[in-house]
Amino acid sequence: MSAAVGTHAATHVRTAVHLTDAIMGTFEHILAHLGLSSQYLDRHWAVIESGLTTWIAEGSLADVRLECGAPSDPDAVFKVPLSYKVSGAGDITFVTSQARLTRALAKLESVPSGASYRVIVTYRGSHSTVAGWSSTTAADTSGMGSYALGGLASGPDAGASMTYFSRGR
Amino acid sequence: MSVRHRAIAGAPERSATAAADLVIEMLIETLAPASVLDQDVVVHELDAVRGATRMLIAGKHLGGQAIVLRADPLRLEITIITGDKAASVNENLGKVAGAASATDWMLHIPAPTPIGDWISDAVRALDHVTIEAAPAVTTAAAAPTVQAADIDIDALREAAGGRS
Repeated sequence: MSAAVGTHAATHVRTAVHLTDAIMGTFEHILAHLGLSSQYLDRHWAVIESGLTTWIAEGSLADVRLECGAPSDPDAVFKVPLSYKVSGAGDITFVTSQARLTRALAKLESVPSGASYRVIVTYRGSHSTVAGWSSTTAADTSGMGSYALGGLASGPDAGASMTYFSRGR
Repeated sequence: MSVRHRAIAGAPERSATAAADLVIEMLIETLAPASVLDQDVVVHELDAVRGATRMLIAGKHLGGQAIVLRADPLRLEITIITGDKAASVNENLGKVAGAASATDWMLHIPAPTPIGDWISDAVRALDHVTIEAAPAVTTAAAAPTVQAADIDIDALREAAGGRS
């Protein structure tokens, strides 16, 4: 029984690492495609990576958001909700939808040159504390056009998809 | 030139940060025996591309394209395997032998779309890291090409006794 629990926990962690990697890679491609600076992402990479992996592994991460522009009036928001599955059955496969992202990048509207951006998360239930993260308020996406871009990646225990909110200025 | 290849497992076996750290440490350890090289420069320049390497890994750009270290007589090619195949990678981590007699070195890293400008910016101030592709490997079986203009027909005729 302990071996089964250990295997299950290890699978959880591998799913978390896989999805975190896919989300970080996706945000990286979006920001580069929009012509924004890599500085914020590079400087905070380890903290963001650590937080996402921790919270996906414990199942407490509801969604991750990349907000471009002023938080009070963002130009674009990329929301990545997580869906969790009951694992233990079926094949253990780790899938990334790189081709889907490439197609989606072509549809993105430009944002002002030099626009700021930030990565924020929302939780479901209790969650562990991860150093480097602080409380904030998510940008209001009401009034923005939304486009479902489909699945980003999936693993045995969870999957991630993405919705793109645009002001359409 | 001795050509070595190392495959390193990325996600889901390890994060992009952890994989990038392994790549950078492997490169530093590989160049460490080269007594002619300034090791402070080696560490400084490789540490400067740690973030770029991490971005290349998370963007899944190092599966098909390798990071190439040229430290004659060693050429080391490193790729990162992700997804289901990562679990079955036969890893050989740490120092790669063969660079002890190197007198110079250059690290070639890809700068793919859409992060090409970011990578280019990261290496701009570095003397030993470039986004230029590494020269293709010439194998021992490849014979030098002889151009027709290189053959002295008159000398051949003379050697053959003037027959034509």
